[in-house]
Amino acid sequence: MKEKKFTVFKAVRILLVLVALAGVAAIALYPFGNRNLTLHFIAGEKDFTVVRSSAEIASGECREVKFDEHADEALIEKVRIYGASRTTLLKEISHDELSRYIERVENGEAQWTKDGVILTGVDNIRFFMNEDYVTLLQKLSASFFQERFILTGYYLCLIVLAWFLSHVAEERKKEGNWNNHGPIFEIKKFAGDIRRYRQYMVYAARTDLKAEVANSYLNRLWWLLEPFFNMIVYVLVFGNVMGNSVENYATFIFSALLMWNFFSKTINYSVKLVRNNKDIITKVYIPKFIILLSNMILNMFKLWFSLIVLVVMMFIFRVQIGFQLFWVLPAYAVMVLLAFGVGMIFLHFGVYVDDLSYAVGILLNMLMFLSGIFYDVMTTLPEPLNAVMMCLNPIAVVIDTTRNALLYNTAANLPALGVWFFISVIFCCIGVHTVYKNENSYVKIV
Amino acid sequence: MKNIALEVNHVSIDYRNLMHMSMHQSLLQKGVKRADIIRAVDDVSFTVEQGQILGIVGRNGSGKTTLLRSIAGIFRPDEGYIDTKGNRVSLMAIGIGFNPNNTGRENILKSGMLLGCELDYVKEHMEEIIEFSELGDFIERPVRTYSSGMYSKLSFAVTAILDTDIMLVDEVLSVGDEHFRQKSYKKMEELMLSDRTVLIVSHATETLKKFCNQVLWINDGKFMKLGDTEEVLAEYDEFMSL
Repeated sequence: MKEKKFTVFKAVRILLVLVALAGVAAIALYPFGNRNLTLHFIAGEKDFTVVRSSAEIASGECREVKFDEHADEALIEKVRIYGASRTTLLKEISHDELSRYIERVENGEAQWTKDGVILTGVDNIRFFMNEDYVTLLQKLSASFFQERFILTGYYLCLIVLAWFLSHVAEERKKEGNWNNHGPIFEIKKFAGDIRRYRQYMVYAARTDLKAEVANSYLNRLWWLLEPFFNMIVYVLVFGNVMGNSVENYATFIFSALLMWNFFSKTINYSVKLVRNNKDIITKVYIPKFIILLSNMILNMFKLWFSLIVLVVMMFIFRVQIGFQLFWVLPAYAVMVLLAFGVGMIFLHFGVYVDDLSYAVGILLNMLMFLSGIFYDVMTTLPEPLNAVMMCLNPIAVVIDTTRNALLYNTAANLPALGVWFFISVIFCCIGVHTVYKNENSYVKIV
Repeated sequence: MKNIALEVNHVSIDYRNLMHMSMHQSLLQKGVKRADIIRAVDDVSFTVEQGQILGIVGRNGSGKTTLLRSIAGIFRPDEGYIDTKGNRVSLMAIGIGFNPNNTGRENILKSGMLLGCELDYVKEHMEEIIEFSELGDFIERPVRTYSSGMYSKLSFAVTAILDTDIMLVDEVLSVGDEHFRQKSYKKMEELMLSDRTVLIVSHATETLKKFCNQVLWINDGKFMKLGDTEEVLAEYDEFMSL
């Protein structure tokens, strides 16, 4: 009887794998219908939005752009085009590019300058766009590229949830097994450990911080100076030498750099965690993730200090903030979860494989340059790569969301952020599970 | 008969020789070769009653420390199980979680919490620990400035004062100078009278004779004898003198 139950769960899991594969194939191949496009004209303080339905675009009746309730003068900096999701950027057209699409202007005049297109004239100024513009919109409307990635992500998360539930069910069914290791047991253990060691985590982080600066002259000031001077170096190299044309480049880099530093420090630390904390691990039992969390709290303290610099910089450069600033919080939450999840997985392998720390160093370096810390992913990278990066690289996603919320007061990439939130949670579960399963043998190896 | 505080049931512990494995090696050779597995503790079982003081003797490398560590929960035995009946266990070791750049006071708090005590509880006993460790003003200085004697005195004080139900002592009674040694002996006697369960690993038979109710003798990871202190020690001495 008992044997049979196990096979049922196994069969369910095999079925799940098949369903997952079939679903991924279906999402990849399904001919999704054309979508509506939202064009966002960014014009200084006054943005205006044009919505084009898929039918209009398909029939080519989208040439006219009318600026209704608009003052006599405006400066169009760029046009952002969004698809089905209002926050996933499909394409950004700079003002230079925009000029190529305009055929003629009615009821007013358009002037092309270095900063953008200046519109002057009476009300109801209109653009008539050319063929290229229509083809561009048609192409954007027809492709479902980014959406497919995001859908696949959500779909796979659901499958993993089902997988998880099958394990929960199996644990529930299995009785009287005193060496229990199902998911419910582990979640309870995790919560219990957090509660038991919460004081230690915070206190250890505090004293470690204190120890770090105990012998330096500038003391806590270093936490401000370090990221600040890093930022200056990057601004000089990437802004002046390489000639990057992003406005507010210092804030642009700094907002991303803070996030990146936190992430890379956590991962770097976790790979060597067990070896570095040999003293504690060989002498007393402590759940290993407590040490990682303690280090993350330490980095969080430092992050708070750097945020002061960021706020000052935003103030100096007169960055306009608004309600969308709120999206910084979910972005940071996803990043922290991801750092913890990936960190736990690396923690486990770092014990067994000595040279993983080198490999991780290289990987992190690559990731840093691919994540758009020094540039904007959507506009700088070539066409298909940018969208792929925005879906598959979580760091690029969270950085873009943070930056848009902080500097441009817009919500960005919310669907992608959601996917990565769930994936990060899955990573955390996998990481905690592997470490719980193996942590007792770490001591024997170190 | 008193409550059983600790039960060790058919416990075996293996060591695998995985040290410094490179990525190349771990990819090429899957699994571990049989020959690389060293059995440090082999099928040992015993129980300890509450309030008892048990000495553990055995040759170097016979698995005493390994056994203590797995009782402390640092690693799980490969076979069998250890049941501590919900008691808090602490392994008395030198400098648990000490950060050399922190002051003695901070390190006391840290290692106290690592032993599973609440922050307030450690704070309450802070003065007692400082007094017992005889460090005086040094307590406010970074631990890296301590002499090795002061360092071990501090670690001993932390575990001796903070109340854990089962205490595991691994050859640290010979800490510090003569004065401190006498003091720690006195502390041990106190513990003996209290309800704490203590396991001592030592090579000093004199010490064991003084404190222990019972002695466990293991040799090459195998259980040899458990019984009355005098009896087991006499047999052990005879075995060793060969």
